[in-house]
Amino acid sequence: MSAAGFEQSADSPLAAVDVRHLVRKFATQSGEVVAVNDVSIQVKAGEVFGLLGANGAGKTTTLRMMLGLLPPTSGTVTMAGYDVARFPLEVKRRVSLVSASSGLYQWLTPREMMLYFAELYDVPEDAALARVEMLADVFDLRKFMDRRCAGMSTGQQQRVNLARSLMHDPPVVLMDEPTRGLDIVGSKRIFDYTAHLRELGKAVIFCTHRLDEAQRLCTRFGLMFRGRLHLEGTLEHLQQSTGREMLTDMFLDLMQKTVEADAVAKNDVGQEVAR
Amino acid sequence: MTSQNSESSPSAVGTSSRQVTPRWQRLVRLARKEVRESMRDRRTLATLVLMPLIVYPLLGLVVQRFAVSRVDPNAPEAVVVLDSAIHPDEAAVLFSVPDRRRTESAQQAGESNGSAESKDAEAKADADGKDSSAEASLQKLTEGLTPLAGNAPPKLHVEGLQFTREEVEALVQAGHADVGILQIPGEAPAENRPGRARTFRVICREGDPFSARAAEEVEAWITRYRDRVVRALLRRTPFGAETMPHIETMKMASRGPKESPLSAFIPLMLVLMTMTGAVYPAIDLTAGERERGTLEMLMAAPVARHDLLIGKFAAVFLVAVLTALINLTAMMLTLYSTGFDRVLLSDGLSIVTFFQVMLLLVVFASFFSAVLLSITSFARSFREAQAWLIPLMLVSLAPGILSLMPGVRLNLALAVVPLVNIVLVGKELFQGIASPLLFALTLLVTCGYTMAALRIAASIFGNDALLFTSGSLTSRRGETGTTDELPVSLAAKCGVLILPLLVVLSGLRHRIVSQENTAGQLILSAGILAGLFAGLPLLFLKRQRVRMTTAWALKPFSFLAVPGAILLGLSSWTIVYELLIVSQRASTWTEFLNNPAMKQIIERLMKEAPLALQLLTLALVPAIVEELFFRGFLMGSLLQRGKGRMVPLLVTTFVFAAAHVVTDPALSMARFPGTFLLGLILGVIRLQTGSIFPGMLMHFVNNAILLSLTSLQPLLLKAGINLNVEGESHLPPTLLVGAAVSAAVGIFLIQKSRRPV
Repeated sequence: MSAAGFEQSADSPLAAVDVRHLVRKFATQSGEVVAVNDVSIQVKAGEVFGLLGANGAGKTTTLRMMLGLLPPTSGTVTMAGYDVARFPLEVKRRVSLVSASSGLYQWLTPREMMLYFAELYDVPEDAALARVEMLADVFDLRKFMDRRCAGMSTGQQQRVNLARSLMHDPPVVLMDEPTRGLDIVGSKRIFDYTAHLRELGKAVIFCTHRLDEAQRLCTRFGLMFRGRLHLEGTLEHLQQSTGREMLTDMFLDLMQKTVEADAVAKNDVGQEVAR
Repeated sequence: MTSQNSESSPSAVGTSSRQVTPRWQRLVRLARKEVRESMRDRRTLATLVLMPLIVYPLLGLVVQRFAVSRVDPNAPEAVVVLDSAIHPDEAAVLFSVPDRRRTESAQQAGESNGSAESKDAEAKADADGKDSSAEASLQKLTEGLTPLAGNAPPKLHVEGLQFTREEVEALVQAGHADVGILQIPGEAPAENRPGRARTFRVICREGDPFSARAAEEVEAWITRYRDRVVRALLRRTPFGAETMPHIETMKMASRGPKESPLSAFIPLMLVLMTMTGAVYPAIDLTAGERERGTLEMLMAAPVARHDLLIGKFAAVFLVAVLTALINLTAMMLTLYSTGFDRVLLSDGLSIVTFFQVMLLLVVFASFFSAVLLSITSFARSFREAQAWLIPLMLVSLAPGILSLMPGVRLNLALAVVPLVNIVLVGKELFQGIASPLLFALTLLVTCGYTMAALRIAASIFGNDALLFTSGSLTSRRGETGTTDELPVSLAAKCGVLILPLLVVLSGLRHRIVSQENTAGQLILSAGILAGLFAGLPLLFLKRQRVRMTTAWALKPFSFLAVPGAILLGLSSWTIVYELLIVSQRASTWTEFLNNPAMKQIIERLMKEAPLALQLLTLALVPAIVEELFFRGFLMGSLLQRGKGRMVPLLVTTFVFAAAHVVTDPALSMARFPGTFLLGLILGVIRLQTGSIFPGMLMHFVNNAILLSLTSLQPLLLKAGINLNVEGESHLPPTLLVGAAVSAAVGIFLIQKSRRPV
């Protein structure tokens, strides 16, 4: 699996993802909004960490800071051993982003698209060609490798996108709502893909608001609410600490508690959430 | 500033273990994908190949039909006017003489006959004039059928009336006739000789290819006629040589339309087609990435944004250059095959012209590609990008229209105006009168603009702020439903609407209220100003539910700001006035844009209306509404972007000054420095006091003083200050010193009244 030109294990410390005390504030006219508030996450190789929470909880903002697309207000991010603030390009080389909203170049073929991404990630040409062949087999793309992406079905496009994300053999994979808008087959493919990544020993962060599917898939969880990471641990650990069986129930409890606490402090915000 | 770090080149991050591909090689590969993507797009190919293949032949056909609709389907007729000194009989003969080949064969036939030669040649020709005119028209017909129809000389239409010499010259100069024939009397002929020694002078318009070619044709006719006369005379008498007419051609300086408007239309057409070619790939490679959701993946990749952009630029540039090349080739082929090149351009087409124009178009393509990318880069979708490009295209048309005006030549100043320089150089290249120096300058300057536009595009493309605007965070509306958020796009949209409306409505003003009614004019003008600078923004802001106190900075301010603003207003006008005078002297090149008639109207307006009305309409209303829009709306929206105070200040001031120049009836660039300075002071006051009101006060005082200078003159004279307003001379030093002191105190007070934000 290790293609030439990659040194994923050589510089991987204990935690492939090491996020410490991450804070991100946005200034708006009506004041400051803390989108991410003191979030710390460690994910080891071979782990699938479920970053869970409702829309607007701060999941995507956290991911973007991990990728160096957004500078944090404070806190540090170390990915595959590299500090994002100091070595953003080195981090980007070792991380892959999979998102449901990402599309394909309609006028290129899957092969051209994959080779283009190999180019973007500075993968040597011979290694890139070998990986294209391998990934075509893994994702069953053989039949349409040289057809334009425009004519493909949604499922085919999704497979091409997943194959694309592994062109540079990243030690860390970030998945941002990867199942959004997908049917059962599409979602199943994402689960298989995630399982595949775990087998390969990748560190995976799986962002979703679908708590049920996360429960089946992830090895560890973090529940985010209003920018804070409230509960963190394995499923057993969480079940013990909350006394609840399902992640969904834990989340609803958490929401209730936070809202009550906030309602005392701030009346208006409570109304907004209740809506 | 981590976002800044992510921009740094790979080498700076220390890729010790990685084999590093050379940057240019990487750029080439990045560009390859972009080129591949746009070339496969059918829409690109359609504009690239199909459009020119259809447009030019069609255009050629239409022009041909249109231009030639008079009599003959093949060529327009040239109007020939004759000097009344030419004997009508001779004139009739002159234009009924068939060409040489036919003359000779007729001659041979005549010799075998042995009868015709004995007669007077003129009389003979006169006699069978009808015959030979039929022959000539046959000749015309066959000429029209030759393959190189366009190179055939124009048909001559000889005007039956004859004119005086002066009339002939005037007709040709004004373009009513294309060729004139004058008869210049020679030495007095001997009494017993039948012929008259004389010179035929053929006159045509200078620089008009059609007129020149018609003149050539007329000369050919006269030559044929002379040859025939000579032959006849030589047979009859050995001394006939002196009756032989001489021929000379003289070019008249044109007073009428000199150049064909089509010669300016050609480069404009090429420029527009090049633009069209570049538009589609530019949108597709930038806004398209965003729309398809591929931009995020690109941003997540370890590649510098400007490298990506260079790849995209290369692709758009390539498509634009190809479009230009195909268009130029198609156009030249059309011109050549229809023969219009010789009709439109005095020298016809040459391969040198082709390469020169192509070079120009290549440079233009690079410039326009960069401009396009910087605009499409911040569009979020295809449709938004298209919406942004429509105004750009319209703006681009303006210099084209300027260049269509006959007689506008490229000069040093126009050579640095983007787009105007390209179209004008193009026109002059086609006409063969381009100055090599200005051509080179145009190329150089345009390359500079390309670099600047690319830098802008690189800073915009994939900009974090745009990529990650999260709806839930940016618009927070309070319970009343109003917001404090003031987007720049709103101010920009508003401004884009205000400017053309202002120009149009100001023009309409003169139609609605009579010029004589000065008071009515002033009131209407103030109404328009208020409606556009306050009313229109009000509609926009209401619709977006922006809180007015925020949008217009209607905020409380320190009391110290009041005397501060008044003192600054009392002094600022001196500098504005001085700058106006200095720049008016310096800017002679703007003379051609100045409209003296307009200036007169304004000056009269100033003199006739009562001062109170002037103060109300020209000082108070502008002070209030312009502050509301510029220092309130526009500056406020820029300040909200949170990029410091300098950029909002400079942008607002520039727009303020530019708007004054554009809407000035005389379009006087001289207003720019003064207005800029005033805008700068007003901007600083707004920033320091945090409120719009002190600026309004200062603006009013400044305008009021400038308006009442004429009325104040006697007063000032009493105070020993001689203000020669009419003579536009400099202000006296004592006044300037006083102004400086007053300004210093004003600045101090404004600084003191600073409010913590």
